[in-house]
Amino acid sequence: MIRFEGVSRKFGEVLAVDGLDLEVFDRELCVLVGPSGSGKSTVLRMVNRLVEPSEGLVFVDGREVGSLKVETLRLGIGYVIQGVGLFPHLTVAANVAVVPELLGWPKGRIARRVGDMLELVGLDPGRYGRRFPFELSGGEAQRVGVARALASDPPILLMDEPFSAVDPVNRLRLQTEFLAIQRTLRKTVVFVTHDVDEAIRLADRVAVLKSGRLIQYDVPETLLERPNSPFIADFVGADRALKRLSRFTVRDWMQPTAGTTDAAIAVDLDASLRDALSTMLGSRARTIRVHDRDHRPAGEIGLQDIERAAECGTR
Amino acid sequence: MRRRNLGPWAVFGALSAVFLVMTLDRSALAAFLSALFPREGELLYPRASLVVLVGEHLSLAAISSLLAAAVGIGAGVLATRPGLETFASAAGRLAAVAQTVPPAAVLALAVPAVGFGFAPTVAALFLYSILPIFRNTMSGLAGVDGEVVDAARGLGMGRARILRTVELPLAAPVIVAGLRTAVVVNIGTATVGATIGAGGLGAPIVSGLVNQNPAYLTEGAVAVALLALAVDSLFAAVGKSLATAAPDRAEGSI
Repeated sequence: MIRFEGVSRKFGEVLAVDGLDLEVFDRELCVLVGPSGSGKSTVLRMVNRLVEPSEGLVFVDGREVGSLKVETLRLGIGYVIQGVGLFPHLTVAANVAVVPELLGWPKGRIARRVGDMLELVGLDPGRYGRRFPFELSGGEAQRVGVARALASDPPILLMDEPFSAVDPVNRLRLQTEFLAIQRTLRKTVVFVTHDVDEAIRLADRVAVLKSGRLIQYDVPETLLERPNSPFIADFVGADRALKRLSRFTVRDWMQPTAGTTDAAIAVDLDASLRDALSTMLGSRARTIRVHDRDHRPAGEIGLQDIERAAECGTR
Repeated sequence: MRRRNLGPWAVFGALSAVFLVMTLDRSALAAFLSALFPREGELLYPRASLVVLVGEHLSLAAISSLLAAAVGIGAGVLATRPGLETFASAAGRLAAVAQTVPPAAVLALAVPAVGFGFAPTVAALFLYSILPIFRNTMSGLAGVDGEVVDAARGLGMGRARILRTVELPLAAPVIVAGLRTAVVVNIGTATVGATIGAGGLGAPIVSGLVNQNPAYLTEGAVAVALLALAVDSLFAAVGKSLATAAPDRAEGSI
């Protein structure tokens, strides 16, 4: 669990973080979101002491981070950054092995772990292990970044705009894959983004920041239904109902009656209901087919299923 | 998927072979010089064999370059540590001044202080070659992607470890380019040492000038040129393989 108590941070005369009180709960994915300059990255970087607070205290598992040896603290916290920051002179496998090696794991255990991690993020260890970062696409590099952060199985994961540099299609896939990983691993995650849609889609709880101050901290449903200020209402946008739909997946609301619809239009099993609705509106169809990753038919989903989801408050 | 490019190594091999034949086979060298200068009575520099001269020359260049590398790389590393920016600019200016002074002037100034011979020559070459090494170390380290260093810190690496396993390997091609410049310049400039009795391949050149014997002069000059080319090609080959190991960073100097 991560706790901020009255934390402020000044850079010169600029107050980047202003009197922050925030608690990130165990095994939750907490998204810090806000416009640029809201201080969200600074908040994240104070957890692993890449930035030290000017005032106030940060606690990880009840211990004040300033009281811990900085390397020890960081070795227990996974870290993923926007530009990935893979070591360009090391292979993919060596990149993933960095933290286990710092921890002095035996060679065999490291090799097994590297293989497991690459498989976890959907990369074939045999194909990718010996490649260099410059031989990877943006999405693949981002996956390696996640694998590297998870390699020593740290309880906490810090992710600073990890998917911002990839194109929208790949971003959606990375988000879906990461959600699936998070559902099994249940890490305590602090995730920074400037993208409200990404925040709503991924978060267990969203903290909206503005000019270094925490404006609202709630589960996404509450944030969308009861914004506490005009700023939040404006920030989440007028398409709140649609944003809520982005938290539901087709998989959970479709009818598994494969092959009954002859509609030509299809949507992916892991797509959100928002995407499904968009596909329906775009194709003027009230019902569309659902297929899995390998384009095998999995069922169908209709407008009434989406309405059902929209009326239902929670996931 | 590292491709081995043997081209640079082949160039180094060929140049060293020619150089070794010239140094070790005295009769071949004599035949070569007599073909060039058929009317010259004395062909080979009499006071020392090329093997000895090359040995002296290489130790002049090697010792001065090693000292310059230690100081230049050390200062370059210090200058890029956070909080030492003032040191960086001061060291940069000092190194620039050291390179502006011509080696001949350093020799002239050093003789009264430390006497004739080996030591003042090494001192002059040392001062002269710090700058390219220092400058390249600095720019190589400054050119390491800040995100990579940030990631290394965030993952829990200490400062020394980041320098050793991340920064220096990534800066290596640029640092080696600086060493290459320094060493090759030192091999050429070490000939000046002969004027104050440091020996080396400058000795036959100076003697050839004094005695108006073009054969002595050629012996020394061709040997220095071949030595410089061979060492230069060695650095080119090393630099190339380093650039392959860190493929996204181009080999180069500033």
